[in-house]
Amino acid sequence: MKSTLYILGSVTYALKAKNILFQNGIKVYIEKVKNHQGFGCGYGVRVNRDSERALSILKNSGFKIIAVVKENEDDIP
Amino acid sequence: MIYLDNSATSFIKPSSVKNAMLEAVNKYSVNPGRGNYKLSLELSEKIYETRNNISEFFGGYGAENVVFFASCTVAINQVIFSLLGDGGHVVVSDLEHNAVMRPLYKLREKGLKISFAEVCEKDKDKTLDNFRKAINKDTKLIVCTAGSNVFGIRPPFERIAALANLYGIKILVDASQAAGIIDINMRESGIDYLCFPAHKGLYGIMGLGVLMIKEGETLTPLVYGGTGVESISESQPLLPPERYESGTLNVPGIIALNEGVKFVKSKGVFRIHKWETERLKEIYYYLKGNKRVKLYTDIPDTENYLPVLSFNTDFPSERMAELYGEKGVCIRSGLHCAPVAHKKYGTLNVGTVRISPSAFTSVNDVREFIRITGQILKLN
Repeated sequence: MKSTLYILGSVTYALKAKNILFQNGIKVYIEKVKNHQGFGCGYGVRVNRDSERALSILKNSGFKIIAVVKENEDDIP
Repeated sequence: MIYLDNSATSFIKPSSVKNAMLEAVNKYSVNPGRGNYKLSLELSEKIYETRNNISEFFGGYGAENVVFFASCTVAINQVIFSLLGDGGHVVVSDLEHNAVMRPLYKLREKGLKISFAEVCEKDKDKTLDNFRKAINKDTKLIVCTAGSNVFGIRPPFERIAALANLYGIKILVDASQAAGIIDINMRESGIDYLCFPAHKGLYGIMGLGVLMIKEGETLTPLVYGGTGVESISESQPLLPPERYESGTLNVPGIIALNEGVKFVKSKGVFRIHKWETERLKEIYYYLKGNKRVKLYTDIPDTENYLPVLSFNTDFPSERMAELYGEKGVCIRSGLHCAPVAHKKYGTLNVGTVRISPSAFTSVNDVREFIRITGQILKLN
């Protein structure tokens, strides 16, 4: 199963995203993001299921998504 | 001890606030928004919850638009220096605190023009008209207190905000004395910037101020530094709240404030305001009957005043404070950092004795204050 990490501006936005997605029945995990594409520290939400729906909800809720990282669960350290 | 200096700092705190402080120090002495370990994330959630509760309580624009500073003064400076750093024109009420006036006077040296709008006690229409007349084509900002920290007078800030919206001018409301006492709704009132401290009517602790920002408003940060995000970038993050929150946050203060807000919410601002006003009324009637006392405002009521009362006697205000202090009564004397308000009432040279109850001020506290006042006034 593939998981998707949506990188957001800060822990505040990651928590806001978590709440909104949870209200829509999507469980996510907050992660601190490594230096992704020279971006530096940040936070994101990892979605294991319904990633497309999650993306749509985040976009419709006005989130600025800095990057989307798709990976296999096996790849997650 | 009888404590009647709550408009400076509320002295008695709810036990939930004290417990939250202890929990913050004992359990959460870590950095929020930086680490990826469980405790750091847990703390980040608590801070987010606080932002969310504050936003809901004041009708704000979501958790991300609630910004924490070291004080309300810093929050006010943030807005003023960002919006007026290039000059222009500002309209302020004639009741403002130095937290507003000193940044404006500093910018006046660089060409900022300042106009004062007279707040007419109990005449909201006239006050609104005075604000309207003070606006000109260069006006960038209106700054208005939600209630005077010296005389308790409440300008009609909601109507002034509507006026600002009509003219396309930004409005900053300083709710230092009003937060936790009156109902304030940013969205309904059309307020662009709302600021208040934690340690007064919200029963939090000192060292924390809050700035609430209308969605989409972007300011030039007052302070630059580490924010825990986008660390490689040479610039501050673009989005609030981290854009304005460089440095480690006051975690105990924030967690305590969350409990303070919950406390006020559970009691209800109207009940708190009414309780404090009733206590103040008892004092007012007593003082009014004494020929040696000069009062400056009308009988306290909830519609026109915050529960703050200033008076003078034929003792200097500082001497009154000493005499009260000797008898275990804590009140404030002098100018209360608001010379503009004193100029309006002719008390610039003498200051005033100021009393301000809290939700914890009892009927007995008031009776004792009255008894002690009687003793003091017989001395001379």
